[in-house]
Amino acid sequence: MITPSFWILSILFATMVITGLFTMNSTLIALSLPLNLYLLVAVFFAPGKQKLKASRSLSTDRITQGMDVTVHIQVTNEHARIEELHLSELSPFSVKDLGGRVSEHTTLAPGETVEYEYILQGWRGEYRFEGLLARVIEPFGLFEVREQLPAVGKVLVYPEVSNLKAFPIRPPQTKGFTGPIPSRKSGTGMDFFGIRQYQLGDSLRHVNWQKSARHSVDLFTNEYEQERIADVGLILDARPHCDIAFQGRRLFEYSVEATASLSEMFLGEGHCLSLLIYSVGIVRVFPGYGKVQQERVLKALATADTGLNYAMEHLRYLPARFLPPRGQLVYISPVSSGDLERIIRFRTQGYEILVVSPNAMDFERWNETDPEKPDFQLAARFAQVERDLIFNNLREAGVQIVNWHVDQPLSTVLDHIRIQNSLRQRTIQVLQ
Amino acid sequence: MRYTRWIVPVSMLSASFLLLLAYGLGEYWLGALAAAGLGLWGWYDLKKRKWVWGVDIFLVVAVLLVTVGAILELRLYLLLPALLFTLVFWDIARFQIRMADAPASQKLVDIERRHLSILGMVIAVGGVVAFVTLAFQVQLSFAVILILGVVLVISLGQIYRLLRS
Repeated sequence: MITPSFWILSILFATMVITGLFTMNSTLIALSLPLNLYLLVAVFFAPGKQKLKASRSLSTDRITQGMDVTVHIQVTNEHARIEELHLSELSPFSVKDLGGRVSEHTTLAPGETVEYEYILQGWRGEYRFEGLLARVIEPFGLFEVREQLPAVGKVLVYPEVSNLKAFPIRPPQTKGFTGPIPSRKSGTGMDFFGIRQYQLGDSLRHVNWQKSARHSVDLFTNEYEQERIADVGLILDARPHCDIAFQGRRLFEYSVEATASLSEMFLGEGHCLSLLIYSVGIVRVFPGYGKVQQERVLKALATADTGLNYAMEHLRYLPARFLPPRGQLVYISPVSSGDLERIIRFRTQGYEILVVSPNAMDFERWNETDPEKPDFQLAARFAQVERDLIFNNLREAGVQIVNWHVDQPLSTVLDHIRIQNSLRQRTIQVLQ
Repeated sequence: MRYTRWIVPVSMLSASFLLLLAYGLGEYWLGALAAAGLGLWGWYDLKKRKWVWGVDIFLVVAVLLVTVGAILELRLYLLLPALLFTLVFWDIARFQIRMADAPASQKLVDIERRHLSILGMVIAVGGVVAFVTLAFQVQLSFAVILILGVVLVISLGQIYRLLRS
């Protein structure tokens, strides 16, 4: 590729020569010789087809938000000497550069290798490194050869996961394996479930001697409630109206963080967990257990983003067949009035529902420059009334609500609700 | 940029001063004013580096001043160094722009040293050839000049074709 500088110098050289010829001034021709020599040397060194081999290695291909990844690049020259080699990333990426060199300027002898590295820190998402752009320039910068060197790579940045204490859930149906959830069925367990007549084969350790003493013939035995694992379905609402962005901060990120933290908590307890992201399409992670499932969930969450699809504008289009029957649903969304109908229908279909709702108003107030403004105050009051009404309707339908003020950690909010629930249960027991 | 840092202002000021001197000694005050203006423009561009075409404008104006100076038969021992300093300034300034985002390293020093050695050789050889040509002038008939012109045009065409391929 010929650079504009070559044309400028060539035109000046031609001007001097032609003027010299027309004015029959030999001095001008003589004066043009240094320019001529400069051009000839540039032509002599002009780079041809290059044979460069590039490779890229990453210190890790998956990190959690806030962690660093080191990108190491190696380029080998398999052809003639290169006077000036400029290497840069083919696709600019929006990650924080922490150190090292993102681009390299060097000279390469035949067979020589240049290596450089840099450290990156990214926000949640998927980052693809397409390759390198190599610009080979002769010493005077008049000729340039550009080549795209394939050196692909990919880094997945997972969302931050905060440690949550076990949150009590009571789905109507549990699975067959032992777990932490009372299954509403008698069997081996810790909590007292009831008393029944002694049957042959029952352990004598479970005989209720107090009850048996009041009867002349029969023996009675204690029953305990089976503790099982449950099917948990997480639904992350990623429709555009659920997201508010202020100066690079997004409410959706809180929803993603909550989903990641909850998934870790439920999988840590041994539950069978599935994930559904309701966005441009339905992204689904099929039910599974353990660390492998956690990896799948985090992978899906790393690339999750909001998007508009008119076919999925309303939650009522969410098909129930994607969700575990009569299991525990956790709906993570700021919740709008349009969602009420579908959530209540889930309740009637036999699901136990927990709504984790990042408070959009708090988020807006937090980012507002003048939150004491009368207009803002009035709008906030209206929004608060609407939110309270939605939550009241949901509570009446038996939905458990976690109203998450995003300036507090989710663990604190869940702890608070856990204490409230245990106090309420104690009060009911006392009243009974 | 250990070496090139001081070469750029020195070569730019030298080129402007030599042109100013050449026009001043020839009592072409308009040309002297243009040379002084060129120096000021070069200095301003050097300090601000706002415009990517700044160094190219300097080159164009300086070469035009040299051309006009040669037609006006100004002192050649001033015009030739002025042209060489202009070429040095234009080359090194562009080199600095290319290397602007390169971090200081031994590799960069090597590139710089090699660039300067090639440039130095070209300028020295170009200067000597031009000087020799100016010192020993041969009278050519118009027909020979015309033939040389045709050869030049053909050569340029060949170079262009070579570059295109």
